Amino acid sequence: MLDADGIIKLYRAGMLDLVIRTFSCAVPQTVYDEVVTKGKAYFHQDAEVIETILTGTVTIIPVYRHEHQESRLGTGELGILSILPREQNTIVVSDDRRFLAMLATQGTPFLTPADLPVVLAQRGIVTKGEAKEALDRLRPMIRLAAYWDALQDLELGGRHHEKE
Amino acid sequence: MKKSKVIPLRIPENLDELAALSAREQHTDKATALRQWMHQGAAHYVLGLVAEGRVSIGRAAELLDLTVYDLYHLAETHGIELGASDEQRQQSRALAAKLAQEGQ
Repeated sequence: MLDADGIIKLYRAGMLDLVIRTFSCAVPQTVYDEVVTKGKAYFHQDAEVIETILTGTVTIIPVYRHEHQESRLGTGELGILSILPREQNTIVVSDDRRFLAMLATQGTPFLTPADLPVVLAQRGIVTKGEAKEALDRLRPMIRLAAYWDALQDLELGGRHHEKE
Repeated sequence: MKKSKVIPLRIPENLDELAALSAREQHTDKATALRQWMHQGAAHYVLGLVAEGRVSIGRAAELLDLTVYDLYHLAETHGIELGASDEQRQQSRALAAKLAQEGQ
């Protein structure tokens, strides 16, 4: 499942299309509204391209009500929290520190966008060079430490974590 | 546009002078100049909250009546890095390594 942060960063990395084709992805209606509907209303060109990528390829899940009353999260993140109990074995893609803290307390597994080019490279879906280019495009939007970690994982091919 | 309300505000005279100067240069009025400063200050403050993990990016965008795209642009402009904490990143990397192995 993707939140607004995950969608926009994967798009900027040039990996959104590929991630959606590789994994079964879903987006709550509230996240879609945040990224596409509001984005288009504010004339963000990225929103139109993202709409094209998401249309017909991603399951848009309706959100009937927010069960969580958490004033420090937006409607998009609250939509994900509402849906998660119904969706088994879901991994959330986000780089939002507040939201990830909430997911961690619930035991929901998550991936940050910088790790996805690495996963795709290690699965042989993209080359290391393509993954590196994606990380370079992502660099202005992520923490420097996250960029270096991802580059290191890309070079080590996952061996870094096997040792741990 | 969010609803607005009138708040009586006492400000130092030097800031009042600066607001007048800013208003002249921007071809606007003093109240607008002060509101622009408040928006800029609020944006910087909220970005700090996002960076510390005290509010989410989505909530910050709602509070500032902006989009998530605008938030990233503002963060870059202010030189503020947003993203997962070191501990969260390690959790994500561990899961990524597992997923990579499953796919091989």
